[in-house]
Amino acid sequence: MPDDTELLAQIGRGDQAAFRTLLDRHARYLFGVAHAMSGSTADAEDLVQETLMGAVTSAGKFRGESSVRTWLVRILVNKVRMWRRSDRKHERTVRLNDVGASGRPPGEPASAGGSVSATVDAKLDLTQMLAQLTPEHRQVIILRELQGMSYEEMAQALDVPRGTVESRLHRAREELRKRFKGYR
Amino acid sequence: MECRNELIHAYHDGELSPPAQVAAVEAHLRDCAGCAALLAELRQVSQLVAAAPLADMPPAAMKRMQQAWWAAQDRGVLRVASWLTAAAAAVILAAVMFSSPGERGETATTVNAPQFVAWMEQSSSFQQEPDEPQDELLIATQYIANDLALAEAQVKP
Repeated sequence: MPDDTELLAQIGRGDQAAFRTLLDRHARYLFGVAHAMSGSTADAEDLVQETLMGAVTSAGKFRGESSVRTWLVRILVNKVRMWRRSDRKHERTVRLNDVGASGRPPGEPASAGGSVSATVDAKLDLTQMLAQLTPEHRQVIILRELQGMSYEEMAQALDVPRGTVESRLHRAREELRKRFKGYR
Repeated sequence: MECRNELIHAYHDGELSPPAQVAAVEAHLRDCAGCAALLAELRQVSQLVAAAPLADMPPAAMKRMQQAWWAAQDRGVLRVASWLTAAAAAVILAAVMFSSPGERGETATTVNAPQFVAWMEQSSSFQQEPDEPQDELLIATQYIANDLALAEAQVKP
């Protein structure tokens, strides 16, 4: 089975089967990340489609400096940035139109207080967990905690100074700490 | 070392350097319950986020993405067509440049149409992507050759 780098080369030559394999390997993960960033199933699907098309057309530019998945996430982050610019309403706190596994409206804590109690037995999915963050905070949390990107990599991917990445990450974590204190 | 949250975050993320800074933070963590508690909470947040399931992609979405790929492949035909349009424009330009010696009052070399088409075929700008159908290029080449031959016939005295 070819590795991801070889798949990209095959896709660059128009290999349909290679594209299907790349899709199988990464589409679900990219969808999850896109959904966490956008809060919408329809938007997430569009973003992943644009990401994969972008990857296909620029397959020849992949230099192997990161994993293919990280490269795809960088393309996705860029697509999310353009998507938000094209529709300013996306910059407001996301309006989730998907109800999570708990059956509660997204973002609504299980307990009356501001934090989620340890007795909640329904596991929140990532989108719900990040729902109350601003889009900028959501992005850095995803890139750092899911992708393990360094501060420098995040700064490049988001096209902001490193200091901005650090301060956003600190504030995002502060929000999550308050919300999920004691949650297991 | 005084308490600095940004250093605890950076330590948690493995972003501290040089090693002396790492050692200084670790020494501080041993002595400061507040910073140690912050580090513990950062680890908990990271574990929570990493463990949170991603939203599931609807099965139909995978199919739609494959269809989008097929549609994009079909649009590759349009890309070939745009190359041919550019090639045809280059041929017309060459015909104008190399023809009409009488109008310029000089002896000019007319370009032989088959020779020009042969040159176009060998030109790097006319190189095909691998696995593209050959017949479309041949058809286009013949079309251009016929056009150029017609242009030749019109400008020769």
